[in-house]
Amino acid sequence: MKNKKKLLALCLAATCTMGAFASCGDKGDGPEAGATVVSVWLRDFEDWSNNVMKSIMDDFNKDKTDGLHIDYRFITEDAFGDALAAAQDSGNAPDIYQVSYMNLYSEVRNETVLPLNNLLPEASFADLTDSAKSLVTYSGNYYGYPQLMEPSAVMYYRKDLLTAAGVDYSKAEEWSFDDLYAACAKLKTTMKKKNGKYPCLMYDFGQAGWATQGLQANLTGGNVCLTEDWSEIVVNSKAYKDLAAFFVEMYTNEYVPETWTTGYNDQIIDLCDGKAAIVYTGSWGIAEIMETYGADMAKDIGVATIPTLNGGANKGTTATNGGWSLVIDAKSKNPTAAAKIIEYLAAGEDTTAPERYFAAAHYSKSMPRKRMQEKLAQTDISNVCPAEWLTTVLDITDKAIPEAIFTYDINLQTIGLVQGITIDALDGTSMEDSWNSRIGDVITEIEKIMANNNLAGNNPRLAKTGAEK
Amino acid sequence: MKASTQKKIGNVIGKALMCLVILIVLFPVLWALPSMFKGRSEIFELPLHWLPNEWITDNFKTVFNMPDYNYLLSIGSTTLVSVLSVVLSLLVNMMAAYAFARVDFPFKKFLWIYMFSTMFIPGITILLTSVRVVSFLNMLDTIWVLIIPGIASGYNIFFFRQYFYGVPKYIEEAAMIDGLSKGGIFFRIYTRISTAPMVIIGMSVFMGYYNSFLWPVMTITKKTELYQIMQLVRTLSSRYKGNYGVVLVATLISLIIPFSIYCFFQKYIVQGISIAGIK
Amino acid sequence: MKSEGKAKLNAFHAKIFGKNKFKYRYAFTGYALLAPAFILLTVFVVVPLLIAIVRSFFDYRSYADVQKFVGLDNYLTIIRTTSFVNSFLNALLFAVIIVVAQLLLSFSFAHVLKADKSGFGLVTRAIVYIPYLISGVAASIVFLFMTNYGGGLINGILLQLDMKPIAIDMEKTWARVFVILPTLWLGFGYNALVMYAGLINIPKDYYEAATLDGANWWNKLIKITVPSMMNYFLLTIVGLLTGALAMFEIPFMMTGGGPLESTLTPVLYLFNNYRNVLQSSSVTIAGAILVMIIIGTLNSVVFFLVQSKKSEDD
Repeated sequence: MKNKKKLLALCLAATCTMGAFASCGDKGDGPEAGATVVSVWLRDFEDWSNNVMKSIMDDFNKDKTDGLHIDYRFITEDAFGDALAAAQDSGNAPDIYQVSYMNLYSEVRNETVLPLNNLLPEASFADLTDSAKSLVTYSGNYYGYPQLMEPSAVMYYRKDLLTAAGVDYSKAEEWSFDDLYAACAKLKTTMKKKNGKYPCLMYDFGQAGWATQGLQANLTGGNVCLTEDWSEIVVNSKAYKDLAAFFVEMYTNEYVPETWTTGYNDQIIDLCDGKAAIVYTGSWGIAEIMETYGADMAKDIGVATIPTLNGGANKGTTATNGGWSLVIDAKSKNPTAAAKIIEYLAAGEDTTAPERYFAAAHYSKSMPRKRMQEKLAQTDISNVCPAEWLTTVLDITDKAIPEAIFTYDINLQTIGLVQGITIDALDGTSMEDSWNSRIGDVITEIEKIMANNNLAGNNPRLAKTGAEK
Repeated sequence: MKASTQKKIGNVIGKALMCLVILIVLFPVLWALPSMFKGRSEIFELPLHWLPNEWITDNFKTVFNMPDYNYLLSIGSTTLVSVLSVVLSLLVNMMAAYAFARVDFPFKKFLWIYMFSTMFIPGITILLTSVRVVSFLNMLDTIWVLIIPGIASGYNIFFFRQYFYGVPKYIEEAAMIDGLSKGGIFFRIYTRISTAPMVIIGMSVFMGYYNSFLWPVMTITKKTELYQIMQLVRTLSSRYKGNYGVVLVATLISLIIPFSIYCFFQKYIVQGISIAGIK
Repeated sequence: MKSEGKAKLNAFHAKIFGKNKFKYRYAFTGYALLAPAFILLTVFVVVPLLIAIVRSFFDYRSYADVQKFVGLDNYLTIIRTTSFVNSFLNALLFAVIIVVAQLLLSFSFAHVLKADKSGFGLVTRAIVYIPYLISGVAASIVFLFMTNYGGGLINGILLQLDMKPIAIDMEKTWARVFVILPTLWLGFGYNALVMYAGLINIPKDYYEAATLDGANWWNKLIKITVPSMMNYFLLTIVGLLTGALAMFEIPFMMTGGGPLESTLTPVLYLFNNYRNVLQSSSVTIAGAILVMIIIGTLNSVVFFLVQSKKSEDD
């Protein structure tokens, strides 16, 4: 009997609390009566980024006369894909979501996104830079509107820590692999493993599949894993041996930790915390420095193009242009309303949203629109971030190539090869032996993936330019 | 004389072993606890030290003042969902188990195999298609989508059935002579003599719901007040990779609810496992 | 009035159940008690499973107008996928290690608990259960904290001693160790309690009789303890096996399946592939159905063994 009473009490308590939950559901900014609700799913990024996107969308929702309401949601990257797959599968997809340039083609092929040509004004696309335009164009149609572009690999270094180790960083921009090794060798005396510190953090193997694409292109002369028309695999080449040798050198000399603690996207934090003197990360690192650590820290930090095999003043491609575009789901019930929201968030003639976003980002991302770039050129931004950083980043962006759009499994195979060789090297196997024992399997696997996905010779980006000519 | 010294030595070794195991079991959590109060530069500082040099509460502020999530609200709603689910789950599964254990009806064998074999279907197999079903039933974004689909469980029915088999039949016969119906016997007698298995299964159902992550991500898209606690822990653990103190605060505080519930029912659970056992 | 209704019901019963009418006199109550569970399982487990099975024979694209029937192609694709096959091999390795280690540890510790006559055993039993309350995600976060390369507990000590720190991102063996350890840690207490329950349920007189016959502890263990606890062993093995084959949260959080897929498990592989837009979700579903078939088969075998053992006992 006592038991039952307890259960009953629990049930009662539960029902009461539930009532409380139900009532707190309606918070201030609900949609106005009769408004069309447009759902938007974005990635959960750094705090500053989520916050500015949120306030941009909240401001939109304050206007109760436009008949539109944004219902937004931020989802972490590791759950985003599965959540979206389930939503699309059950007919509950959001009207608008974020797609990386790398994955946009897959969405186009699956017909999960709408062409935007007739939904957005012609002027919106005319205002895009050529490189931005090429990232969202397939068979002459625009499938997404670029939100931002960011070079995926930039080198950051702590001037104070390099000076302390006696490293001259005045030519950091021109560093080759050997210069980097030399710097790391010196840094090893001040950045001691025993204190949890390391000379350098470059690419961790979890992210290297996409993060090294710029370096791969630099070494191969423009190709990433496959030739440009996807007809041949280029992994079995000197370029990739050089790539593997780079990792082997960095790992076996303990210039980098064997296990990454923060990961490629966030390792700028380790730089600012003094755990590493040189780190690679995307241009988003600038925003993190300025947001979390401020101008005092910025004074001690230098930004440069990543070291390459031969170094020099003109390194060519060293990064990919990653970034995010907004797409409209193919089954959106209200594509016109969704297009209005994309206009507000990114594409519109006189929307201020992108400017707010890029200012909050400390201009660490490059703008896809000409008008904004022109405006930026006339604005004094010396108070938001050091001007020389931006010059460097813009230069890297100009030379960057788009991320590879073939299935990511191929990148995983390639970087798996590099990781395998590095692991073997740590165990004392020579690079040559390890390469010879591994390369065959990797090529077979890539061939299998290409056959399964019918990739050979079918790069859609080339098909498009062919049609235009 | 000799036998008793041997016994004493045995006792000492036994106690020492138990202390060692207790230490190993509690150690990971104990080791992490003070780090909740460490700043981000101190947390992985070498040489190692257990207690912070400087006690700070920034990590707590970050977790409790997240602009987009409400940590305490999530703990509350997750607890609510879990408690409701425990109650419903016990009711539904025990009813079915009693029917299988003590009532005869046509197709019993078939129904038993049908329901029992559902326990071998891993969640990953029906992940996408379940979302489709709950969407078809218009359950998305309600508290029910978090509760209802996981209520019935082949394993729990199996567990209770085994337990009910062990209940002497004469109890039932006596009750029937007293004029109780089968349903009456279940509700008046079986629910009362089943405290031990109810607490054990109840606890495991509670944990299952309290720790669920993927299902809420897929089924709650709009109602932020229904975000479940593990969603937040995961979000924070990917967002604050470089600031482990925040991740630890979010993780360890989320354990308080299951710990307190366990403390409350601890006696039943520990003894219950031996009483109910597996038959 | 009431008895009239009852009589009617009895007549109705007699009509449909015929000669079994006495045996089935409570059939309606039975069905009523069963109905909620039956409906819930059908709607939320069986129906999604049926949809999944049907889908595994199509090249299913959720946004396509017409779905293409492809027969067994999806199954062929998935079993030819090296990563998926590797993930199974990993899972088998994990399963064997976890089952053996957990059984040995919990069975031995159960003896320690049983031998204790003071109240301390009770306290110990209450404490060892605690990790069972912690989710795989939370446990991983705590273990990641301890294994942090730069300054976690383990590497902190190794570095102080001028030894090589453990790199779970680059050393397959350590990666596997740190997927297995948290798993053992989470389940140890519970399994020890189950084993303890089995031990104390063995009638004392068995042992007394054996002592009179001059049996030593080894003989008692092999001849009495192990056979009496067969069901406990088998069912614990089922639980551990199913758990090990469906391992997901811990490898996902600890290693992400790496290095070089050495800790990739089938469920982790499938989880990662639902989001792969290029691969039709039906290939993933086909893989998931294979996982189900394997877990189901293993468990059926064990249950068959338990049942046949039971009928021997009866």
